[in-house]
Amino acid sequence: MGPLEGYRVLDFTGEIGQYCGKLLAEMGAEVIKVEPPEGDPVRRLGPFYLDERDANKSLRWFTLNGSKRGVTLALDTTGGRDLLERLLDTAQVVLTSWTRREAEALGMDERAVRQRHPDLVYTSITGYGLDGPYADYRWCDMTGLALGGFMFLTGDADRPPVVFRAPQAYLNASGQAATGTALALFHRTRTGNGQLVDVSMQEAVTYNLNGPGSIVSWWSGLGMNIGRQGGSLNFGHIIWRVMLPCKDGYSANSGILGSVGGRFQALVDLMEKEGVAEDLTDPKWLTATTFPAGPGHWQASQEELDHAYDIFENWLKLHTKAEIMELAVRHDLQVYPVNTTADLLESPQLDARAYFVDVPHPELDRSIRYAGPPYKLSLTPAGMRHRAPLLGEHNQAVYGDELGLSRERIESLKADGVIS
Amino acid sequence: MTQAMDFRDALQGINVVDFSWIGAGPLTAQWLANFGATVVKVEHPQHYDLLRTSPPFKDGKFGINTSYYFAACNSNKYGITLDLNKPKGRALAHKLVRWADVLVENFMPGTMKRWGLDYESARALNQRLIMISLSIQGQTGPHANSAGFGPMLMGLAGIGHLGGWPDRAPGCATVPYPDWVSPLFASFAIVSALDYRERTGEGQYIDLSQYEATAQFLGPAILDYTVNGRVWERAGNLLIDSDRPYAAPHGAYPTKGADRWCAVAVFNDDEWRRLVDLMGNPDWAADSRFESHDARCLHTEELDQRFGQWTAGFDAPRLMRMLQDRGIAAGVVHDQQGVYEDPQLNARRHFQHLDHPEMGRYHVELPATHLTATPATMRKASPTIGGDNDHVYKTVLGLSQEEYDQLIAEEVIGYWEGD
Repeated sequence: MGPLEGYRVLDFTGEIGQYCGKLLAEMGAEVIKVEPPEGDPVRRLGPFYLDERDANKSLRWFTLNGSKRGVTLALDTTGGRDLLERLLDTAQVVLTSWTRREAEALGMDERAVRQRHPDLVYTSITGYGLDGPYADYRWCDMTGLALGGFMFLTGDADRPPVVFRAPQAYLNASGQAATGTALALFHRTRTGNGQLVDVSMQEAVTYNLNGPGSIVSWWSGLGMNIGRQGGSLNFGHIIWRVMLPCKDGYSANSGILGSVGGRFQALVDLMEKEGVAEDLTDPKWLTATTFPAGPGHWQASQEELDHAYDIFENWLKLHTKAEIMELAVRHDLQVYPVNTTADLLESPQLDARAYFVDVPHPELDRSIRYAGPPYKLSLTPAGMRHRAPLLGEHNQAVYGDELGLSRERIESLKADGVIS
Repeated sequence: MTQAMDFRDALQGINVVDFSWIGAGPLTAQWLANFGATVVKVEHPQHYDLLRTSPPFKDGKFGINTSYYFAACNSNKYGITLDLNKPKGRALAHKLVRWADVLVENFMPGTMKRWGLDYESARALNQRLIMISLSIQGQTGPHANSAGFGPMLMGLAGIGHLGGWPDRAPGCATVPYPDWVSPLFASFAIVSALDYRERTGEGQYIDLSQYEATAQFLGPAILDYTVNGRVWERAGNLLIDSDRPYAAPHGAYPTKGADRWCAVAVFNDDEWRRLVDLMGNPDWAADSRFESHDARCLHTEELDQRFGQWTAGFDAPRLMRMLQDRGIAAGVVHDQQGVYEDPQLNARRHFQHLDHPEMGRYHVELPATHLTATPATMRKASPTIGGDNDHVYKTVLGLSQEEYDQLIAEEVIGYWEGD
């Protein structure tokens, strides 16, 4: 099932692009991860299952390659190239993360591949794109966040810019690549033509800044730059204090003054019951907003907003994250707790929607709980199909059963180091 | 396969009715517009898209039609006003649903039903329709009706917990991540569904939860908890794979000028040797704390301090080039000016410009996914409120002048007329 059922994808990508193949696989495409005989480098990156450093136990590998099948193939051997051509004949999409120079050295650049297979969608996911002055630059997740303009905005003003604990730029690049690949498949369905889809991680990060926020417009439109403000959100003319401490951690709010509907009243009622509302009970606050005021409203100054935040913060400190969650849902407040992964696994909402799914790992003699896809399609559901492939797991199925290679031929390819 | 048409745009001929507002919904519809779909954005004449009141504004002064923020999310769309609370307004909305291939909305669950625009009703009007709802927590479940906006969702989805310094509050509030990433998933799901429809004739409904979309970005943190019981915390700029860093140096290092930084990452001994050579083999680099990759990963604080003293002597772009020339991953930490002037982004023509009737020339941005045969194009400035009423009602929906005038007189098609 899944809307992309019927497509075969060959995935040659590194960490930057592996999430794209996973998204396609969850949408129903048959994705075959093609690895070098010694295994994909991501297999050597942690965290690991029970901290056991083993090529078949990387949790990062599990996360990025679920629902895919897996074969090994040495692309720089004659035997490997021969098998590759036969595989390409069966596919509609290839995903790569080689620079143009690297792809050309392998004979796997878009022109070479599409000359032989003109109806292929060739999606390239690289740090900076296939051409341009940075085309051969080295990348990592952080250089994408830095050159994309994101890192400048994260962290505290009195310290260096900072990244997130988990890779972000890679996932943004892969997400854009998934949409681009689907667009190219749609075009292929309508016309029969394949094409090159060239995705830049840096540009994927920058595109985020486009909106909401239109952050680059501070420069292009007004000739100024906004900086990082830690847990606060900088709108240029006013700063919201978004991340505020509560009794057992932190909370995050979407502004308290001028919130839509009757939510501010509900918040003040709660605070009043606990005797900490102070002057927020004054009806004047009900019509305050932090943005240019429409009819019947007035625009609060930074000082007035900070005053309201001080009182709000005192109230937050009386409550745990769990209480804040419950109050937010019951009274439609504009504040949620800052959750940890442990909190997410306990969420009744995610549970009701079956966001987390238990996926069998037979060789580990157990199931592992994963996050599934974030959408529910009514006719062709997306979903995790099975765990990520073990190293070379589907060599026999693909090379033997499907392409018809004899057992002897497979053994000799193994002996020659073409597959493993 | 449609042989007769030459599709210059990937979504040529696809019609989208966009009932959404604020960030995630409008950006989703804009993805489709950028690749050639015809998108009609529907706004209530008085309760218009709140982004119209969000800075930055042209010349720093509020104007209903001059928010760069609104423009960034709505370029390439046609904009109409329509009062869905009036029966004749709903009848017009139904005409739009019949016209559309895709419907996008991000209201509170239940809102569309009140207008007779929930999926069951919409499907009765148009069997082939693909409809997507992008609410905060999805259409089902005990918290489905909890409304909210991006900043608080940063907390809910757990990503806020992972951005910043371990001894400080989460430090990532300037980036409304949920609104940024939900459109990626939404546009992917819509286009996948369009392809399925093209192959089978069947439309369908997509229920996207922004909470779940944002939580995707926790990556391996989920499994490290469900398998190993490890709860990830903020770690500053340390690149940690489970319990230890695996790159050093790794972080933003000071360069010449105020608040100017260069991100540098060194992953192994080879790269380190090239770096030490570039630094002119300083004595400190021979210290036993820095002699192997594993040792450096255990002494990141001292290493950062020493290395930062060296980087501070260079301009950030020059430092990046010097390091990249030696095969070391490095990137200027761009502010907005840096991004706008970046040579690589400009080589990819990321920034385009459109002329707006009230804002004048303003910049818009191309997606990072370059389809070489059917590229994204920027064709139309974002709509002034009700700015395309004439065109959409008369040309697209085929109303006569009399019908149109009558609907205006009855304030079904309202015009915003100031305070």
